[in-house]
Amino acid sequence: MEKKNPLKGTLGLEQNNCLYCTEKIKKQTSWVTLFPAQPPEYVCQECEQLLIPVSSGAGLCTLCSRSLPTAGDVCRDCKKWEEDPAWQGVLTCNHSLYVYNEHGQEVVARWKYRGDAAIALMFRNELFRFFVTHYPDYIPVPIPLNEKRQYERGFNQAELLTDFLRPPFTGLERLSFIFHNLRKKRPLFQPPAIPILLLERMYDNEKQSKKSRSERFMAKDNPFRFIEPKNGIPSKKVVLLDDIYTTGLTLRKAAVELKKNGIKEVRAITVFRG
Amino acid sequence: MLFCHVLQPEDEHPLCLPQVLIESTDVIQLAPTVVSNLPALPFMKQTPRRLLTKTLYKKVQFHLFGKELLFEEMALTWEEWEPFLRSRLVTIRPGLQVEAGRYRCQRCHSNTPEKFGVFPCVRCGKECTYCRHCLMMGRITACTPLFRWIGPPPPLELKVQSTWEGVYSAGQELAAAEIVSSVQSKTELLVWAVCGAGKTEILFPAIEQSLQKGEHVLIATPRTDVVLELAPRLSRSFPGIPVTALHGKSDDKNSYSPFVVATTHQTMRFTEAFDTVIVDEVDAFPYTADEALVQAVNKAKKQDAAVIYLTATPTPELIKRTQHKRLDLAKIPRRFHGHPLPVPRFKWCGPWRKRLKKEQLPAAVSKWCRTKIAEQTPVFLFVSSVAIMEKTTSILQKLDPAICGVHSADKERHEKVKAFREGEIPILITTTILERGVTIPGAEAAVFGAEDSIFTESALVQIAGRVGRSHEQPDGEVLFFHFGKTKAMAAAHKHIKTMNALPFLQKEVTPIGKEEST
Repeated sequence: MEKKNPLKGTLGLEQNNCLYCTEKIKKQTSWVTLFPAQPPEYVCQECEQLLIPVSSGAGLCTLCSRSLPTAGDVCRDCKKWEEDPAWQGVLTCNHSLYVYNEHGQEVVARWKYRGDAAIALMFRNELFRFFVTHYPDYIPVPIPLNEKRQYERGFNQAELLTDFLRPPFTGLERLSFIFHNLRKKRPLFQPPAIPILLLERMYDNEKQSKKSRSERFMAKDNPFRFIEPKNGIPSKKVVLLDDIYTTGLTLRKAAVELKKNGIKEVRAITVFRG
Repeated sequence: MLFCHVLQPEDEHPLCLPQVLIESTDVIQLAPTVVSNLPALPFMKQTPRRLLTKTLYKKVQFHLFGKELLFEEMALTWEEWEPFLRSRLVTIRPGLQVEAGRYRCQRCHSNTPEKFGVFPCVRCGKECTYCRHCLMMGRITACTPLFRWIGPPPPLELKVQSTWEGVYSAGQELAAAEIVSSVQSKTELLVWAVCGAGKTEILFPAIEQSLQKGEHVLIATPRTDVVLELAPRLSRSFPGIPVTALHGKSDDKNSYSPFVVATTHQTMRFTEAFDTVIVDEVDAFPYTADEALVQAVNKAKKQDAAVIYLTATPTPELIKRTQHKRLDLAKIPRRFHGHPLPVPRFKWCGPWRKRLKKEQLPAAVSKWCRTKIAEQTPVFLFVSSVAIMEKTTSILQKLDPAICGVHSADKERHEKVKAFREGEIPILITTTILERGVTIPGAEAAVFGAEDSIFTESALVQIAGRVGRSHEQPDGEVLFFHFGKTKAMAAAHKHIKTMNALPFLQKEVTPIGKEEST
């Protein structure tokens, strides 16, 4: 499919209307406004405040971004994952941007189930900022949908997110890649312009709900298949993208498949932490 | 899914078909492409081509008549669609059409860029534009076709008989006759009836006649509350016919009936379906603010249909149209019980915003509230914003904890109004959301901070119209607490005075042109 990063700025940029409530965005004037090349604002301040960042609580699980009473801890579920030899170290860590509260559910319902693809732009700036500061040398890979689901929806929400992390970048964005690579003392790297999918998802005949819990959690029962990209893989480090982290099972199954096929390191960024 | 224009054998006019249904005998006129790239086709007469099963025919006819629906909404396969399409009982047209270099959504008529989004579409393999404005009714993208029934309307054998047995006032009777003649001659009419004139009842004879002729009738209104209040009243008055009530949360969205009560938003579902369209509260938000809604109502009516506008406070544009003789006018200046409208009194209450900051109400307001609680008179207290509503509620709750506040996004709104109606809430503090459509016998009303620009002339007239609506208690107090009189307040006062001064038993339906401007 022909792809030109279509979500990047086609909507909300010229209009200056909030993506979520469609009201006009009132620009806040400050010293920063004087600099050219500001990242575009997609959401008004009121709607922005409704999304609660995960870091707003006391502490976070260092592995899965769950809010915890104390900082620097690992949550019980992650301890279980890491104790199991089948899953140990498969997914290095997940970072979520926002808490999956009632408002988050509303946003996801509109985005995925109503099919309002442009909602993805709401997370764009935050996602890009996080990606470039922590994973400037990783390849962003979306969690795929099976063909039937993707046709029904018309798009894959994870792919829309990945599109934000691929060129063409603005000058400022390119600069931040250079800066963060230098900071990490690494050779300059940028995600490739052509989407690298790496994975495909098989159609699952049996419904998830019909399987027992232990069956679902078995590593053998994996809906993902690795696809070798034609021009090779430019980096052995991958960051998976998805909309919600609930149990972490989907991401780990995808990670298992990637590791089997020569990927050294798999991390994840998800928009919401369920 | 791609679409093309084809010529069937022995057919002069092209037909829009999906690529999957093309047969070797068809001549392709326009090659397969995304549906929005295809030009619109004129509607042609049906030409029976394929055998249709009776049950499926009936199902599609009842489901689709007068509407334009998406593939997903009908849950039929393309093979099932084929006979309908080939015999021109159903046509396909693009959901988004390009007009003057811009997309226009054919369901909600949006055409401004901020209403649309773009995404890489898996279905058509291209960047696809979609309408975000009517997304809640199912997404329409540039590659989405709309299905439309152009065959005969469903046959209906219903005995329509109004069971309403009330008596009209002189004004009502004349207006009702005017509406009947307008419905018969398929013209437009503005009915300007004061709040509490009994607008709904005067529609009955016209609705009855229209339905008896087998026509389709729509009552559209911008407010969900009005739909909720009207629908049960109408089903009681017309027991022989199912009334379809459509609002955002109603669940019988697909049932067929020739008699529909809907919010103006829901009229987007219909296309050239109605012979008589009645727009109640035509000046209410958001109908006046949203051109797309006006177009949606326009789309729902047949090309020659009667349109009746009902309101107590017509907009200047509507009045202008009557003055230029482009719109007939019928006026009912008296309430059904014959008593004059309560005239609002103005009461200065000082810098009330400052007092609110100190968690206090102006003395005049709290004194008035206290007397009303003592008298056990239910009171609407209108305020200008949700923030002020919450503040005032918290202060007044010290007088009586049962006092409640309500606003448009309040999830318990309908429960609260119900409790207020049953006398459980002494004072209901509300934003302008309750300014119309709510009838509470014996209630009185006050506006707190009436100088705010949200309180326009029509809003204030409507608020005053909440008072004295029953036979038993035909008057009551209307107070505007203010910090500086505004033009809107003076205009509202004058409006009510003028209406009261109009002679009671004059020929109240004034032919256009002779109308005094008020």
